[in-house]
Amino acid sequence: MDCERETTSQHYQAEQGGGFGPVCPDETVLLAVFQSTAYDAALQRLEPKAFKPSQLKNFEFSVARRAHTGRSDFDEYVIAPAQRRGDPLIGIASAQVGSIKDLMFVCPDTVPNLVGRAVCLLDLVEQFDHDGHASLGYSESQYELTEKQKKNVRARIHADLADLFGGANPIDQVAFGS
Amino acid sequence: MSGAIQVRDRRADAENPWTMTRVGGRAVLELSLEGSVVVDPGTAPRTLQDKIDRRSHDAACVRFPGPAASRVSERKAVLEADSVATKSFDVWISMLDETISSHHLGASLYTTKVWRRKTYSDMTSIETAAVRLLKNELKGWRSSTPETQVAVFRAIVESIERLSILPIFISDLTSMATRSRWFSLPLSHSPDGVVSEHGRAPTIEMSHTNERVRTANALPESVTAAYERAIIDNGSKEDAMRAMEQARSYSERFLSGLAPSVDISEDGVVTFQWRRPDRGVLLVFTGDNTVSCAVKVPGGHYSTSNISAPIDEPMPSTVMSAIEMTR
Repeated sequence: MDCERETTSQHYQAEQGGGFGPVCPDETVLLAVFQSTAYDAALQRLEPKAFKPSQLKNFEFSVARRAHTGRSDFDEYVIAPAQRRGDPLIGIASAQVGSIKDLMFVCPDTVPNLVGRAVCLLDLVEQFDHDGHASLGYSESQYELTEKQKKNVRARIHADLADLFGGANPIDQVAFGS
Repeated sequence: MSGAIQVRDRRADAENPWTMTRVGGRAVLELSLEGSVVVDPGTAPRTLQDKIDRRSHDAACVRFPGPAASRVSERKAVLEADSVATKSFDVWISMLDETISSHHLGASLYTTKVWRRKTYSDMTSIETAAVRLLKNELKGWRSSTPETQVAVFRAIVESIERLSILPIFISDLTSMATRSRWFSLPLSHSPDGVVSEHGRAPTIEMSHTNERVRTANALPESVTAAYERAIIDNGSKEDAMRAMEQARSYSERFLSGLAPSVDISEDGVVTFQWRRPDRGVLLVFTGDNTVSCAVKVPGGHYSTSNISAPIDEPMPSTVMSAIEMTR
């Protein structure tokens, strides 16, 4: 089964009732776009390169669950550390969780064609994260692909993710949660 | 430029020597070693001074744009920086290794060669790289006790301080910087608060490897240029070379006059993309003698579209038609 970890909370204090539970399809996730982020200024869209295999392999691609992230948390945990490194915020991109979870891949080089979820979205919260943190990573169904097949499939997934998140909006136009 | 940059170190005031947060998928160790950076007038380009003046974090990087440089000199700067970084990392990792092994965390940093290359692509400081390494590469990290984690983090801080007294790796900050379009150099500091030209490992900003081709015959050269600037995982270098050569050859034979965006990923995949808001075409070269074509139509996705063709055959007409619709 693809994305089995999506069905249970991955919050480090889930057993004690911590966190907001798995990320639901009707939620929206936010992605901070910094100056260092691969962003096509002409098209006003993220570039596929913004989605790095090294991060997606390890569920290290961070997003914020809009409904569960206040502006102050976003400022403190996401924007401020980057700005201290000299990486100013350009804006906030967002995507519907349902669209992310609906994204499928097809590998035509397999017989029969392997079809599976492109990425999984986990409420992966560790000790130093805010509770609205979530992580994006490749789905388990890609494990059975060869390395060449993975590279091919994932290049297309990155292009789709870039389109799903789209362009960056000014942070003041984002409706944060509480 | 010796003595041109100074850091006033306020470490003595800091109760907490480090904090950790997550930014854009990265765990970031921030040293609470605040200091202000002062640049003597006339010793650095104005753009550099502007960047430095905005800093209040002495473990951070200084970034500054250089003038438009020729491809040859850009490449030279990248190669020089890579060499410097490799030497610095080798020394630094060997020092850290002693600490890691003493805490029985189950890995040797020195043997995680893939890590070292991987971190170049997006690390902003040596501290960031350290935390990523600890969390990702050490099997025992997540299960280790808080006391152990604190001890290891402190060891990192100490190792960074020791790093600042390593032999000279960078002789001329200004000239090296102006040879690359973007260049970042972590500031190092010595106990007396004076930063010399003995910098730590420099890093290259990689957000500019994406090339948008503007002229009819520029695609093959653009592929080569993107390859020269790309940071590629050690394990993917051979594949990346093959992919680059095949993409270049394919563009010479079959894509004359076309102007896609060209990109090379950290795992060595070359992609050409023609993109509009609702549609696009993606060509993927992995170095396996095929080109994989994905066409996105309104409401569709690249991930579910794939037409694979041998590298020595012209592009399928359906794909060419889709490209025409994006122009």
